[in-house]
Amino acid sequence: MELGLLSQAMVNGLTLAMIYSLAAVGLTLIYGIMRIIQFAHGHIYMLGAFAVFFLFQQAGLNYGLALIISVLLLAALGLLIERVFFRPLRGQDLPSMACAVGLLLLLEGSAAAAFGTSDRYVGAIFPGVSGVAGVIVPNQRLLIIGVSLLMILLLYFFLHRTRIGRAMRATALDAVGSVLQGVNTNRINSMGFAIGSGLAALAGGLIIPIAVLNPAIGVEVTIKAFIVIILGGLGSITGALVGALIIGLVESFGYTFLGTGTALISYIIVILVLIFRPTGLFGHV
Amino acid sequence: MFKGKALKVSFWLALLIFIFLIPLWVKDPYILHTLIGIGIFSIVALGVRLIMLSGQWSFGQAGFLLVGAYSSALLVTRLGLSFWAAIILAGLITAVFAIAIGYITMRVKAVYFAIITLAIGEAISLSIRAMSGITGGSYGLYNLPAPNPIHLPGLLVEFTSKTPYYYLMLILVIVSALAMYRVERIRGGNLFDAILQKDILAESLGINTLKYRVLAFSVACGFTGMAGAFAAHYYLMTRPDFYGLLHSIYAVTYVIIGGVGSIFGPIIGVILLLSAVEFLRAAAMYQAVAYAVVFLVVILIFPGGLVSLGQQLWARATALLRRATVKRYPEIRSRE
Repeated sequence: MELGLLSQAMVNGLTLAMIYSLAAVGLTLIYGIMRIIQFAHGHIYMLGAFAVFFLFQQAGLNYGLALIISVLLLAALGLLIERVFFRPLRGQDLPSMACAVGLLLLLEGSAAAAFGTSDRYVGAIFPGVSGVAGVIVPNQRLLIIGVSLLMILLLYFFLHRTRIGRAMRATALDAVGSVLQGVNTNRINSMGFAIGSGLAALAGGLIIPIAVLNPAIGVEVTIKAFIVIILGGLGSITGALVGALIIGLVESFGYTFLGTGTALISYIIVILVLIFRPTGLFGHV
Repeated sequence: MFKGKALKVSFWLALLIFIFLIPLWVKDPYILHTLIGIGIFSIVALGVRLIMLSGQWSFGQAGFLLVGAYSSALLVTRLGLSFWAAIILAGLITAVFAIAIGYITMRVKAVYFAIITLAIGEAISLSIRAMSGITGGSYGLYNLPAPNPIHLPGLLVEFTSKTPYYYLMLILVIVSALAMYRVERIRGGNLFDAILQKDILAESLGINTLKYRVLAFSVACGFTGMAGAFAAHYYLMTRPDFYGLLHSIYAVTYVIIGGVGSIFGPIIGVILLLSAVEFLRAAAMYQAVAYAVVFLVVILIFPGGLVSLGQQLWARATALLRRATVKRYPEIRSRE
């Protein structure tokens, strides 16, 4: 019984961690390349969830297809946002930050006006459970963990093995140096924003079968994603993954065994890590 | 004749007198209530700006509002202190709390500091919820007393209407602004300039940047705590969700929208954005969207904040005035 509870907390923690890490790697990509504190990142996640909800639940599309369309739509929105709002403010930290807050208000306000503020549910799309290494895992959660891991591996491969990916990392290290080496940083910024937004939308689309959906779910994801990337070290994909695992597991085990007060633990962890290791676990400089 | 300084001083004096006289013809409690809210957040935003001048971004100011509010509420209800002693003590408690936090956390900078203060702000709110024996948990503290009446010879001030609160808030804003301006102008303002532009260089010149960062942080948080205490005895209650993360984030944006360059920036930002909220109530379900659009348009047109526009207009106006004067009294030209 106790073991069942433990493994259940483990599975829930891993699911949560994968959702956080999808949101966090997108955020770390955007911050790394453009130094923008994208406060509206969680709202892209929320819109991604709404897109899947309407495509799958209302229009009756296949779930996988709905996910793909939602990711593409939100990636396009990310592209548009970078172009219209952030490019004119490039290099100006404070106005960019305020602009991100304005976007947060705009996206949440629009979603509330268009979709209403009531809670919506989708319910498990792949019911049933599977046994993985002797642990019983609901299929829906297995899907979330599998797809997220796959996407993060793909992103890692993209950033380290392709020409554009390398250009992205170069821009993150030194934007001026990259321009001098012939990198089209405008295009890199747009792509980074689009990929980051797409990943956030994917996270939103993946979680709705097991979570509640309303226009207000965005803020918490943004905050959690920030905590994860600060914990792991800004700009590091591995760091984001490890940070997400820590926060996800702490939250899941905390809610299972401690109840309320768990939220406090995550915050205390991030405060302590920053005090003793100001660059985060995997950060440098 | 129109030397910039005299003109400036008389302009601000006139504005100040105008602000002091507002309650004489504005009797509508709704408007006074809005103005008092603007006052509370002006103090918070002034603090955010002072912290920004020391090179840090704080996203936890809501937490310090709560510390001030609960300190004062508990001092009054548990220890039976008068409001006047409690609000000052609340400011001091919040400032000391900020000194302790500042010394531990100031080694991280900018975006890291932003996240650490964000976490601290949330941790404060969650701790208040958790300590329900003292703080009343999520329900908060109710039935707090209004400030004690002031007995002056020939004048009795009782806090039964909005007007005395308005004046108390106004005095708090002015005192906070003056105190923070004093801190900002240490060594003629060069000190924080140096820390902001190149803190390592400033340290190599023997400036203890940690000390001044903590000073700025604690002064800012101390007055924020007093604003929180004021709010607790104005609304006659306080709750942990009264000031949350979004308020902390908004406080930063008020400063950016108003402009970091001037001490009036944060106040202008608060006035614009909080009155926009009120005016846009007519838009009903589109209020949030309309507000966001105003917000984004302002930031895209004036990335330096609204004061940058004000400064340009001021320069143009004084130039015009000077030209007109010189035309009329050509002898001035020789003196300039």
